[in-house]
Amino acid sequence: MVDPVHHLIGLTPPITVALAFALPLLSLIVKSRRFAEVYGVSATAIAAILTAIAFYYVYLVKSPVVYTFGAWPPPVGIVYEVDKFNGLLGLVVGVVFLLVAVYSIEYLKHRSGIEWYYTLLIGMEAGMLGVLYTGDVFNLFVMLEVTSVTAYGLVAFYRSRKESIEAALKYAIVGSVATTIYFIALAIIYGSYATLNMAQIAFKTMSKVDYFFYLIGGDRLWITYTPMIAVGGAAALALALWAFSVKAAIFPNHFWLPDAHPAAPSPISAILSGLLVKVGVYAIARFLYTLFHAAQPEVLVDSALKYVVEATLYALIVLGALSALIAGILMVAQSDIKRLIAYSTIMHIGYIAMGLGLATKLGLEAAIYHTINHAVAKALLFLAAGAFIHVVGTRNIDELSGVGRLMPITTLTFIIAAFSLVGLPPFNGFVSKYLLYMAFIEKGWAPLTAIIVISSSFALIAYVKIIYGVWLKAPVKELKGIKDPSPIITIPLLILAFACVFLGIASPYILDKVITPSVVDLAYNPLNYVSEALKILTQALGG
Amino acid sequence: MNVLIVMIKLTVIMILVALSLYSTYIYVRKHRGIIKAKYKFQPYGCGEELTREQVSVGSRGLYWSVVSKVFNKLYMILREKIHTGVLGDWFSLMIIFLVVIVIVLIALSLIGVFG
Repeated sequence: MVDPVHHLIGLTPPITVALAFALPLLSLIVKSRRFAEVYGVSATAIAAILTAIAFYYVYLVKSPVVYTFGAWPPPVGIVYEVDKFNGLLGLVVGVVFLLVAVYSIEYLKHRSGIEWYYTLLIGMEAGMLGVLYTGDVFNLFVMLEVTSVTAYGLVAFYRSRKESIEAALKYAIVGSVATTIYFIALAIIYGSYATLNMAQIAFKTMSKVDYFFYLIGGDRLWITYTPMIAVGGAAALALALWAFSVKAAIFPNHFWLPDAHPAAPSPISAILSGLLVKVGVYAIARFLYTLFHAAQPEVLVDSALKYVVEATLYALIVLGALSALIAGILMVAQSDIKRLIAYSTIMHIGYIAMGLGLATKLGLEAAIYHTINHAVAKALLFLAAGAFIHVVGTRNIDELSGVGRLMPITTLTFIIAAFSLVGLPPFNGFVSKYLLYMAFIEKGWAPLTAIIVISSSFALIAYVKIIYGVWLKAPVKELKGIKDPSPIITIPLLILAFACVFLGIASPYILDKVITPSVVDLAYNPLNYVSEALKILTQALGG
Repeated sequence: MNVLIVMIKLTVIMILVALSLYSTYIYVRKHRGIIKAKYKFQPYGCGEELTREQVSVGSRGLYWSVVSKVFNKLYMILREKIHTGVLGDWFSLMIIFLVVIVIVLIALSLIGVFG
């Protein structure tokens, strides 16, 4: 008997997809704008509750939850496998989407086509949760496409603007190239490992025998390993991680991001910057650390694969450092507030990539904590910038001069987000950057901390430019009737600002109870991930 | 060292530094002994009428001059060669990197297998 909570966790992405597809049909019957808004918020609230249940459950039961679709066990059927790592990221996705759905009511109140907006928004959430929860590399491809297609649509939401159409097309072309590369990687994975199930791949990179196939009906435990598998593994790893680096916007695959983020509506920019790029980060981490055991290369059955994994980690650090520096320099030169923030995303993804490349426990803790902190702070920064744009009607920093004094709540939340991203204490960004410094020093690579210091100082210049402009500079045009927007916009801002402070002040507790266990599940307990899938297979066979 | 202790120490130091700088600024402003004349605050543009936007430093100029002087060459390389925003440029750059990475990783795996 499957625990009912397993059904809830496993069905979270399909339920969200169903909610997305139902909206256009229902809006044919109920032709009311208010209905679409309430529906959108309710659907994201349901998803947030389900992700919270998943998070609570995986931290409570202390082992990954495996859900089999149609009761087909792994590796035959598609499974969703939620451990502490993806359970945590799922919760962040659920909460941020809910806040964005609420914020969108006011932000897009003068726009038509709101039912399509919420359809795409809920669809994107379903895709992201699918990418996070899936335990199947092919299903990851499918859910990645669901996420991407909805994202292209949302970037082009202002379909009367040329820049939105251009940005969406550019994003779609770049994204399609990336998913095609990932598809080639999948073919190589299947050709090399004869499976698409993540747990089975993780097992086969550790063992010379295939225990999954033995359980299904093999007459004896055959040795399936050949040394040449390592070559396939190397090619697959290179192609898959390259595709994910496009989704994560790591240099040189960051081209789409500075165009797409400003062109989209601000709540969508918050999702793209705070969450969507993290999908790429998640996939990189899952492939490197769960499937190819980068934190414990000694468990790899193949010594050739060890070289490959080590080289990949070095590449990740180099590309991460280049992302941070290049984005830092380009960030200062911007006069469009959203474009400036978009470059900051590339910089922070660079930090996360560097943390992932260290392959130490502290480095991974720093990377995962920074992933969460950046998601919260960047969503806040985009939503606060969106509030300025919503009220004043411009993205130009010069034209926003002086509005800060008239919008104190928005400005305060903007400053909290900016200080958090720059890495000032006591905000959350400080803690994860501090951990990253310590991780570099622990590894003996202290000079690399200079890259974070230099790029952070560029970020400080850029943010001070905005804060000085909106708060201290005299207005360049008459600002009549300008005030903080309605609570529908300011309440999500205040919640995220509180989260920035809370994640900073409560960091010792969060690190101990949440981040470290998620790092252990991701990278240091591969047998746990594999054995849960094996347990399901044994149960399905009546064992 | 405990993260919380580090954070508290740094926060206190930052607040103290900010407070001391701000109180110095207030003190200097109070005691500078200059009598302000209103006309000094009117922008003078050789008889031309100037808007506030024209007399204030634009966001492009603010703080950017340091960066543009020190890193100008690098910025121009980035803008003209690496980050043009043209898809064809991205594609060629991406393919070069991808081919290098795939070749290096496959070569390493072959060295591992046969070496």
